[in-house]
Amino acid sequence: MNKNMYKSKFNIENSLLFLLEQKNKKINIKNEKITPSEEIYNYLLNNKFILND
Amino acid sequence: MQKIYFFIGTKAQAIKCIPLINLFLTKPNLSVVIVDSGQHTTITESIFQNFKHEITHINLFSNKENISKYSKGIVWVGKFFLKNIIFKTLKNNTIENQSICVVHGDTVSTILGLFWGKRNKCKVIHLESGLTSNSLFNPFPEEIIRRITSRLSDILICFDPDSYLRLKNKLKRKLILQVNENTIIETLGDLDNQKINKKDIITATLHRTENILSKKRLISFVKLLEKLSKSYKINWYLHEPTINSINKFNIKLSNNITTSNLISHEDFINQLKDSKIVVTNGGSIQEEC
Repeated sequence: MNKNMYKSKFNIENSLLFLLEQKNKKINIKNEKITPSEEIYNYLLNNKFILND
Repeated sequence: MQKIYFFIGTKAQAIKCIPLINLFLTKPNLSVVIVDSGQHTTITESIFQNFKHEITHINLFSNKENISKYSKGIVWVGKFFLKNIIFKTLKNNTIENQSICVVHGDTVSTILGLFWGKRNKCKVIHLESGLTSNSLFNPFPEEIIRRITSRLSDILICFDPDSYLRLKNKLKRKLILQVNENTIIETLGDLDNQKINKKDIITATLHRTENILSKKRLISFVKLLEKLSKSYKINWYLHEPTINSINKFNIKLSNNITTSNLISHEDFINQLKDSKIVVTNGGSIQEEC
């Protein structure tokens, strides 16, 4: 019983890690395309320092 | 419209802010204003004269020459504080329509921009935050200025992971963004498709206080250039304070060292591309290399 629980927990953790890696990869690909200025602008926009268009 | 003030005093500040200024100018809800501290007024004016967009300018200190002497610098800071920070603020700059003041780096204009922004109820963004020499008085006053500005600004933007971790550890409650590259990269064009032909040229600059106020250091720099001039053509681009120090210490330069005044950023970048070696104490030039 405990062994099964451990296995399922292990699988969930692995899946989450995998999803996180994929998300980071996507972010990295995105970041490669945008300039430093765009990165700064997006940050200010997301944190509501700059009002939306 | 939301106002974004770019507080600029030096050539490096103007050049590194231009990519961000260009981007903000494309946003219809933002109004970009250049605020000139008057530190290197002729240089920053010439940069924005050739600018392709029309931008509102505010000159906070009207002077015809750059501040290149320390005595003039002290008078300038005193007058600036009295006129623009103690007695005068911008009109109609309410908290509802939150304005932003962007300051850059670690010059005297950086800290003046911080105080000016705070006095006018702006949120202050510090670009190139978090760099350090780990020595409070070296370089002076740059290190102190950078630390104070980081501490008092609202948003910190840094360009390398070390700066980010340092700021995160010291200033836990601040909003900090780490950008992968410095904005200066956007001013250099498409680097992958540029042909670079290196020649036997050395480009040299020297402007930091600790190097030009010390006769011993200045002479050792000149001796180094003289040694290198046996194998390379030396082009030394002189800042005004450096010329003043060379004249003050009566240092004779050999004919093998070609000196000239500062040139435009575009021409200087082309000069760097041609050079096999660059001898400098300028942080921005190291990044450009």
